[in-house]
Amino acid sequence: MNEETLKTGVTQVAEVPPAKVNRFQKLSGFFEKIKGMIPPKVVEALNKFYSNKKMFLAVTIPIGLILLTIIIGLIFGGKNQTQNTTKSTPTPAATVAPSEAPSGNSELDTLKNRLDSYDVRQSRLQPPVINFDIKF
Amino acid sequence: MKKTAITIFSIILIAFFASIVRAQDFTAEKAYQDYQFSLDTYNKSYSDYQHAKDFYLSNQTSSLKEDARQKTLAMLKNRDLLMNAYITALRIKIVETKGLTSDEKGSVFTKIDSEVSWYKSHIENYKDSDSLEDLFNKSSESESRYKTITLPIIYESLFTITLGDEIDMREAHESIYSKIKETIKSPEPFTHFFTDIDLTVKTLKQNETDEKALVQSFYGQFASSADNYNTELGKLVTSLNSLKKLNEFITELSVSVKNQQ
Repeated sequence: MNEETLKTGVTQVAEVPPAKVNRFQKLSGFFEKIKGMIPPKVVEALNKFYSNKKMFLAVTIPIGLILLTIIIGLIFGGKNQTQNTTKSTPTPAATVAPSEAPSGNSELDTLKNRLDSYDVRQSRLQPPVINFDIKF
Repeated sequence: MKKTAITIFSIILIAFFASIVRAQDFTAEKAYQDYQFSLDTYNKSYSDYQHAKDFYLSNQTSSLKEDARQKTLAMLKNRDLLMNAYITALRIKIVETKGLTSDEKGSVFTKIDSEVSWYKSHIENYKDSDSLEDLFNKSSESESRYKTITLPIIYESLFTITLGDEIDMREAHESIYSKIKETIKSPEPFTHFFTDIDLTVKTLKQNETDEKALVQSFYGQFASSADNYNTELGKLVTSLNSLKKLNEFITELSVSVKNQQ
């Protein structure tokens, strides 16, 4: 391993554990390549932005939080969708009358409540009133 | 201490925003809210159109005519957008309705989707340079489409949603009924319950078959689809009453079985 590091021509690295040096060199080489691809004006602007620590932190922290939030939402958001699709009616539970069924069977009670408050006409979804007579 | 406080605050903040992102799922409720938003936008633009029209008619200058033309154009575009939002809300409601087979849903979706496409492409027909006469003609296209094709599909969708819910409730009752039956060791004392329940289920199933056939009447030529819908709604009310009876019968059976045990 030491031989390999010497082949690269970095002589000072010999005192440091060789494996770490290689990774560091590869990484720094990779970043140097990327840096070389970015126009100098942009690099200069980024350096200027980074040197102003207050501004840098004020911008990057909120952006980071927003990105993190979106990623978490995308990862865990899917589960909610499947739960929602299984709902059969949007009738709010708050409008449901208290159960009077004597059985104590919760499933039957729930169904009774659903039947009592069921809107056959689907009033909420009735077509909107539109006036087509618009000529003048 | 300070670091811990910042970490906890950040986690709470992330959890809060994550819950907001989760709430963006497109459910029937979300689609309904979109429809309500489109309805508000349309109502506002219709009111603007009405005022601009009245101003122009009371003082017929070219600038007031231009203002009325622009307000008419905005209102007509919003009207097509409203139709799209409304039909989409119906579609998503059907998606969430249990009790319907995928074929039954698919049959309605095909009709709804063709309407969504029509209104989407019709909005594109409106040009900023359209004269008032052009706008009136294009409005007539929407009117004709709505009255002859869209409206029957809307009533079919509304009828299908209720029918699906009733089928779902009947199936839920049947499931409870079969569970209760499994617990009964000697069925003799409960025979009269079984007779009542089986007869009600049979009637409900027959009603469902009849109701599915009734949907075609919304596309008839002799009466308006709204009239036909209101007439056929009576059948769904009858089924709902039968479902209430079924619930009572099964509840009585459940109580009797518990008393016997």
